[in-house]
Amino acid sequence: MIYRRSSFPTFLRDMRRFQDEMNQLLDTSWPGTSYRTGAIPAMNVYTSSEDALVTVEVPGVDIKDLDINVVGNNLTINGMREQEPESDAITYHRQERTMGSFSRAVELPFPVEAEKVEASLANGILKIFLPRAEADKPRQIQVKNS
Amino acid sequence: MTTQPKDSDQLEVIDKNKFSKQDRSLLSPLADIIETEEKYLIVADIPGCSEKDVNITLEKNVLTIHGTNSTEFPENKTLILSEFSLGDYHRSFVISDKIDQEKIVANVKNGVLHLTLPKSGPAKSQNIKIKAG
Repeated sequence: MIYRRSSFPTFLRDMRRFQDEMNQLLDTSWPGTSYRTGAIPAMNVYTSSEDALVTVEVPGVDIKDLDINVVGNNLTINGMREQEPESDAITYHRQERTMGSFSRAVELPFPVEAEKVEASLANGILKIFLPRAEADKPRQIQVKNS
Repeated sequence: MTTQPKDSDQLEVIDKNKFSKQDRSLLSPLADIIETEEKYLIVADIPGCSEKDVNITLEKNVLTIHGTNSTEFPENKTLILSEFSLGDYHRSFVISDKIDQEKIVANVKNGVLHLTLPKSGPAKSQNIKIKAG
């Protein structure tokens, strides 16, 4: 069962990467087209049986504008990227970057220990480390000889 | 039952190869190009890069940005949702003669590259005001 559960996202992941690569190919042929098609900000979720690591691309987002919430196995990230001050003297020749507020929610495969969640921000990458809730961890049961 | 662990081992091997140093993808960073009265601004998203990871070259009229992203794939973990790839950033821009190439300034903050390209003399000199004598 565990194998089956993890094999499906693997397939999706490969499809996704293929899509990214194709889009990037197109991007080099027609400069200016964005290869990003998915939700913003983009996130990667890594898991092990003990914990999860969520990395989110948030370049240009200030630490004070980030709001992270965990309830059970749901992680929500809200934030805001400040726009360059607009004025008549400014002309955009190209605008590919998205500005303004964003909100993302992701469902993790297990409930997490909300007290022990740690988040750090470096070079525009937000890393959230989420340990699996103790109560949810699988227990090895020793079989005694009677 | 016996084939299952084998299959998952194989998947892990594929993952590691995909993220190994020599096989990283090259990404084209998203960028804004802004013009003001005295300068052009190129703003590019290069998450994962600090100022020391970025190399900017100017050859004739081609300005090339290369950002080396050293973000590693976390060990002993499986990727279950992938929306962005780990890779280096590379993009070139053709700049016009109107730019003072000597005075181009770059800085990186929070994974965003800001390039300031001041316009060169002649463009500014058009605005000389003549005082009534």
